[in-house]
Amino acid sequence: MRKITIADVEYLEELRKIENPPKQLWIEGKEEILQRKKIAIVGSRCCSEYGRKMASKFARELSQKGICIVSGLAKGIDAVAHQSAMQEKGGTIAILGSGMHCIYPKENKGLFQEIVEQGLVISEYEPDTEANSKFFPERNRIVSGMCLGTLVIEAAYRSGTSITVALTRKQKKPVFCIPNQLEERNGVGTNQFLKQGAKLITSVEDIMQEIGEKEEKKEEEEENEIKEEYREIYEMIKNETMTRDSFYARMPEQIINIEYLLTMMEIEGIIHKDAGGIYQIEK
Amino acid sequence: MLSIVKSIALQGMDGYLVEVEVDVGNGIPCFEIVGLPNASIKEAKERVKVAIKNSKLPFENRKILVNLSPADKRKEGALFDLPIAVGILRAMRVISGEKLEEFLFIGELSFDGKLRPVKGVLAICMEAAKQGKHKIIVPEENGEEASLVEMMEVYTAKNLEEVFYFLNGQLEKHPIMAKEYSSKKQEDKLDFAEVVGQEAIKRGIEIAVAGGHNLLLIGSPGSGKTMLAQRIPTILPQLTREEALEITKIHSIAGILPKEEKLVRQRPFRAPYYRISKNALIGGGAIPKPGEISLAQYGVLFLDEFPEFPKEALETLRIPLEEKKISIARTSFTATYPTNFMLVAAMNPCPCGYYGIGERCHCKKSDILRYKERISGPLLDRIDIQLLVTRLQYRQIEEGKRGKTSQQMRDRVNSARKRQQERYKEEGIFSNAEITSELIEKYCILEEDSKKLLKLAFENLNLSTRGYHKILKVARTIADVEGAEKIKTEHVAEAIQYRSWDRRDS
Repeated sequence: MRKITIADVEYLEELRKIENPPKQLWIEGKEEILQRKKIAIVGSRCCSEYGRKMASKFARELSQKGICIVSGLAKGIDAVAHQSAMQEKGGTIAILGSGMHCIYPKENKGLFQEIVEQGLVISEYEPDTEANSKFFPERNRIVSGMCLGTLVIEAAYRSGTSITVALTRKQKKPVFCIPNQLEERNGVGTNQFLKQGAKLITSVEDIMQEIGEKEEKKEEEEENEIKEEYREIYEMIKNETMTRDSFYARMPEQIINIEYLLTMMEIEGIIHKDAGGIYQIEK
Repeated sequence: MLSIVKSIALQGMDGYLVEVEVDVGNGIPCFEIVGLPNASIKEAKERVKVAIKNSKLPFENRKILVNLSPADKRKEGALFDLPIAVGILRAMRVISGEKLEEFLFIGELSFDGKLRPVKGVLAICMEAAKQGKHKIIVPEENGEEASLVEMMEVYTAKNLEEVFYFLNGQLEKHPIMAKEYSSKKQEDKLDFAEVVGQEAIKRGIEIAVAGGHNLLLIGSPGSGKTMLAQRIPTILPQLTREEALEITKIHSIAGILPKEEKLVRQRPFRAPYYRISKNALIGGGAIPKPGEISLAQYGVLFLDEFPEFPKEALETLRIPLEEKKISIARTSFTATYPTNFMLVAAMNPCPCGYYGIGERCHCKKSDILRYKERISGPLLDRIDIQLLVTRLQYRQIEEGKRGKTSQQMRDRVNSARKRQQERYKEEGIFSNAEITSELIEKYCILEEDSKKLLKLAFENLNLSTRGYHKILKVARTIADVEGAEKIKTEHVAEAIQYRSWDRRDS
């Protein structure tokens, strides 16, 4: 852990520009991440399965494009975003609402450790400061302050997320929202932000365009990399809903071989099995 | 005058000889039973008195004392009605003592003198044979069950009067004979062929049964977990006579033998409801009775809604799963029941049940974790195979031709089991599920390719280390099912598929 103050050269230029910048920061982890382009992903702590999926998708895809994902190490969307971004190129930064020694919520302690090892954690509080409800809105100004924009995945009516959104607007940065159903509790906030002028996002390209990153198409090439022996299964998974059972029904004579190929493809990260046992192409 | 009549009391699976001593003497008329009887035995006084009277047999109102020896063991049940009645009649010199010596007596009396069936007759007769007593008089309805024990001369009686005439030599009776044991498999009402489109899961079940592995089925409501589990007994190998007798013995002690068929020929399928108490699950009581885990002996114990079972009950399953028996200790003795069953547990993937199916699930991640954590690690360690039961899509119902039948699956199970018995005959075990870590090194040898695959899988698929040995064991079983001598890479790859639930959440 290291302390940097507003007077230091390493202090983030972006943060100097915001109203009421933190005087000092405790940081732990890989400092080089600070130099990357950053996008905040925020949202509800009690998120839905849809929210979780979208947070994971956007965090991973942005990170793959070298964008660092910043969030608040809370439950729900925050945790998913950190987790999904961590493995990829862009990495992740967590901004705490407490001191480094008092991780809140407790169940994210493991995640905290992982981020310290693979990403970066920042706190403006003395290491032994306990979490306090008034710290969280304060911490949100750093989240939005260091980023190029804020992506809201899910937010209920009058949630903490709306504070981050308000701060982002104040800092004259774009707010991105994904669409949600009108009836969904966790969509009330995001739909409201959209009405107020947030940018509607349906894919990462929308965000990349907004922040001025040009995107080179690579998907075609990737597909050519699939090994010949995986091709048949790959195509089936890509075009249809496939479970282990459907493979058994389709090619009963080659079961042993299919089990082998499926396991290999999972190991190589080409496909994965979702919670419902349906195979998905790993993007 | 004093008389002694012999009977047998049960304590767990075993019993001991009880001498019913009756003294009829002078004094103020009374009727007392001593020798640690419980309430049902104490009440025998009234039943016996009225039954003798209503059987038109002479009864003198005198001072009657009954002692159940050995006097320091607790006894229960209504089976002492008959020996007490016979003892009183003898002490009153109503029946002759000639044959009394050689016979054992058990039976409950009703007020009109009829003999009612009692529980645990098979266990009682086995104990009798062990004690060298080969003649027994039992209620008529218990006759068939009693005659299952070879070397026993079983006489039945409808009522007290018959016993009286028989002992006095006024009625001729012949011992009933044991029926021949037919090893023919009984027709199962259920068949795996009825399960359409879930061939992958059926394959997993086939492997679990072949290797004697315990099984965890995970799936949303309506995915067919119960339907699959109910059909598992149909692919278990045919019961031997010894196994059938042991099951019958336990079921008889518990009093759940069906009226028509006295020898249990089907492998038991026990599916207790999740609100079951710990005692009902593992066995209990002042004189412990067998619980569900013993009633499932040589069969399947199906625990649906696995995480909903009381934690205390689930944790007590650990030892019986390991040792294949349960000892229930009481201050004066310990009852031991066998618990050699296949555990089939079923659960939903999350509290609401719809995790992974579209957008229907709104469970919080922490709730899902908490739900999963109700199954402790040590318990999960005893379940080798985890199967994700996926819902059928409409397309699959159309595609699904009539699937593999129970007969086909059973044939493969039998041949795989034969291979295992052959391999382990020196080790004193029967199946791959039983092999210890030392034996794994001896029998589950992997080739270089397979080792590499396993290493990659552990690095990339978030497998927990406790799964390592299980994958080896299950791979061994898959090789056996496929008729392969050595474990091949494909077998390891398939075994990895059976550990999906264990993966740390990514």
